[in-house]
Amino acid sequence: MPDTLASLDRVSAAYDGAPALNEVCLDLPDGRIIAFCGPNGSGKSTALKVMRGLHRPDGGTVEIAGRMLGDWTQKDLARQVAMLSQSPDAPSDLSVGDLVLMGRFAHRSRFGGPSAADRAACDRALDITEMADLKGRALAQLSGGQLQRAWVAMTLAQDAPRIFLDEPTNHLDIAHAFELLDLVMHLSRSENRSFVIVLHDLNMAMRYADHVVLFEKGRIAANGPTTEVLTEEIISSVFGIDCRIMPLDGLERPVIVSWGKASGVGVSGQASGKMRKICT
Amino acid sequence: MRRTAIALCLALCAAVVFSLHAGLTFYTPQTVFAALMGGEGADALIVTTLRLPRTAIGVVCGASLGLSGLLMQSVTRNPLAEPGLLGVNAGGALFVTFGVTVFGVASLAGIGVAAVMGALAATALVFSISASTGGAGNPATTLLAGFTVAALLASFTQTLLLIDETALETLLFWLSGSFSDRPIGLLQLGVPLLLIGAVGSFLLATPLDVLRLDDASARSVGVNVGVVRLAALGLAALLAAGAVAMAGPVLFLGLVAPHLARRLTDGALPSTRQLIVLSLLMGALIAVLADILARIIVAPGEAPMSAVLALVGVPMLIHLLHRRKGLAA
Amino acid sequence: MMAGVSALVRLLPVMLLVSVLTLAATGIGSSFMPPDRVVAALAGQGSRMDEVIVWTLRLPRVALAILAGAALALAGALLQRVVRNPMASPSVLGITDGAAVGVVLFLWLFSDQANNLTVSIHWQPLAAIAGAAAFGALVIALASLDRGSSKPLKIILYGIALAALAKAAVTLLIILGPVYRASQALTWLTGSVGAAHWQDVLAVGLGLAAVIPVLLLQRLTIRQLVLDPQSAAVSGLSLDRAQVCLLAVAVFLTAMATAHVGAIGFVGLVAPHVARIFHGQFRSGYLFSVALTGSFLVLAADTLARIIAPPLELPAGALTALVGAPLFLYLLVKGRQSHA
Repeated sequence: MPDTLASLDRVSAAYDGAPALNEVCLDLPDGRIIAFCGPNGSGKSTALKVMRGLHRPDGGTVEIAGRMLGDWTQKDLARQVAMLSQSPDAPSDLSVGDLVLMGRFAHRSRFGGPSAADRAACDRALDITEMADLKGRALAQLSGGQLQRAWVAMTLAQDAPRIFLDEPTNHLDIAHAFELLDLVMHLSRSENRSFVIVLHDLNMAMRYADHVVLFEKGRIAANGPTTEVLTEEIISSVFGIDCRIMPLDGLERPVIVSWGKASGVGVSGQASGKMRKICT
Repeated sequence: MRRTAIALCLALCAAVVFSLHAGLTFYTPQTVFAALMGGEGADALIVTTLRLPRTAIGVVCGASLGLSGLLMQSVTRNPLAEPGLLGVNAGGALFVTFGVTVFGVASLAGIGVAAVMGALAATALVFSISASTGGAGNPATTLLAGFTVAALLASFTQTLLLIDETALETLLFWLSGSFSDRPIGLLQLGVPLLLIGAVGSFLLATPLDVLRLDDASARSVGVNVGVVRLAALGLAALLAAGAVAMAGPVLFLGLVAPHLARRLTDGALPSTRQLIVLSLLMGALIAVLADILARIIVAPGEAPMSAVLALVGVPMLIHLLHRRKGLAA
Repeated sequence: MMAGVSALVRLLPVMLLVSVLTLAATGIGSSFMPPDRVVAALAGQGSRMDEVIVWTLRLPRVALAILAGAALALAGALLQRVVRNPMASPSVLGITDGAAVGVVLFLWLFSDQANNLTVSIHWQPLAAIAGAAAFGALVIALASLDRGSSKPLKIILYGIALAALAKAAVTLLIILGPVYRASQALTWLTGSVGAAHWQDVLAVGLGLAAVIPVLLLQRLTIRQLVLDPQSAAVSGLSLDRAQVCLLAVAVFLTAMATAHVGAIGFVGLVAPHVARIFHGQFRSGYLFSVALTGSFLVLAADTLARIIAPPLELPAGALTALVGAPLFLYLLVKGRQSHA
């Protein structure tokens, strides 16, 4: 296995002419949990989509696992990199079992039903996500948290060594969010899988990520091991908030505590999107 | 904005005047003037009994359809909503056919009332279907529901006409969608409906402005979204019904007119009030122009006006789709 | 294995219905034939008269209804998957109206002064196929040129626009063309299997047979299309290629069927809905169930069209709308209640 998960070279991307990524260069190590963090609209989700071939960059090159993105066939890429997008959608009468089986698309033979390996991968994914009991339920009958776990199960059933998650904790309450990230941690340590996760909650990134990439206005503000990137100085400059990073008894990693807008100069322009809208 | 409206007004007047002159034989201004002043003879007869009525009906129909399209587009937040595409014409056609074949309706008033009822029924059907499939805000679902209902109603109409061949002869002229050979008496139905529609939409203009936001935001600033939407849809249906009763099924006018009206205004987002005025004028102008074109392009024959509109409207629709990258789904 | 058995159990009633209806439809006509005589004639054991009636008059018509119904229904099911909208159908995409343009243009171009066709009428299906293919290709081309994000919506919109264009073209051609041909074109437009010959049956049958292997090979793809575009792509589906390929198959099926039976509407819309309710759209054998339902609908409509007002024969297309549309509305309302 090559030791770079992905490498981006001067990648730019835009939506309908509005720039989202600006000449980004980035090398990501394999076998780690990598968190993409940054303010709204800083380009972290776009970077993930570009890396997975879901959004065509306007310039630059992307390599995944040592091969140019354009050289992969869809199915080969799917066997290498799975991804859970931000708002996945499937018909509400689809059953959980059928949804998870769809994750096996890249592995299934064109002929006949699912193979023993397909079934085993699905059962395992359902077990890990604790969805085995709900296998026969239709998606319409699930709660928000269960639905999200069903999609996670589908992503896991794809059996890819590298998994991208775009804000996976979005619809989850705090207990389920921790559960999901514990699962990520477990899969990363026990099976040496790589994860790239877009996370809004910096404390989650601090607690679970090995490596953090901090985005700011379509560029990379900081990139490196978690504790080197998530420092008081960098956070307050990127997010425009004051914060302290302090250790808690019994926890391996420190926690970030913030109490709002920075009093310093030069940060007002980076306030949240909502603020900016009102100002202009 | 005021200048645009005045320019449109002048263009409309010019088109109307030209419409009186143009046709199989072109008349000199003197002939037309003499005819309007009560002159006699074959030429005067053609001007006063053929060209004048069709021009008047064209103006009223076009204005009605333009405004109806604007209202439907505002209410559904769907830039492609249009009475013709949403099955309103087909509803009017079916009820008229039903009235003629089953109840033996023959009077103009009867046909008018049937058309209005049919148009209203079809509107109600289409919008309740698209709402019940969860697609009130989904342009695709509303359009598909309209298309499906239109196809359904059209096949009912066809079946009725197959069974009763004499009705076919009576109705064929009406079903072809044109302003020619329409009794001028139909204006007694169309003009009041147009007035009701115009006044009503002016009253609704402010809430319709707010309705450009999403429903929740509109509600939170105090707009009764359900009532406004229902009222505007009702007006749109009435306007379209008047047009159907007068001209028969006419497609695309309701789509094209508001879009061109929007193009004319500089700057972003003209107010609904401005758009109402511009759509009325633009609809009337396009209708008169299309009618003139229908008279001329295949002379000595006469092309169906609805086909002329479609041949112009479809490329425009496709252009619109292609240009619009971020069409809200 | 279990899944296969349960799918078969669900398919059996539809198969049974189609077979019974086939017997009945073959028996019904200007001279009624009881089922036992129909079966005897089919097996070659009947009277000479019965065999002639069954084999040359009634069976081609029945077979054509079955095959065309299956083709239209399959096209509808494929389109609904491609555009991810249960309201899509072949007529929405301008394919049916495109076929109509082909036919009307054919009648117009190849009529001489005396309103006689200068070429054989057997070329008419080819004209219809050409028209349908041209308009279908136009929809596909416009949609694939479009780099926008919401492609399914665009496919629908382009289809509706082109359908309107085709309708306008048909109106113009009918009015400009020879009057005598107009009535002939109108009959074709309503859709009827009345003029069926074994050649038509063979053509539609071969078309269906050509499509079946494609559908079998693509069945996972067809299923994967229910996911949102991003999830589908991430799971390894080449979305653009799959959409174009299945769209092309749907155009082909519609063109084949429409060329031989005319513009029979609503089958492509209703049959997938019915199959979804009675079979389940994610159970194996769904497409088979869709095809059978389509066959049943067209056969039933044609049979009704023959017996409703004898000796007048209504076009089957009018009947499929009369039967299909209310059914469709009912299913919509019912679907709403079950979701709430």
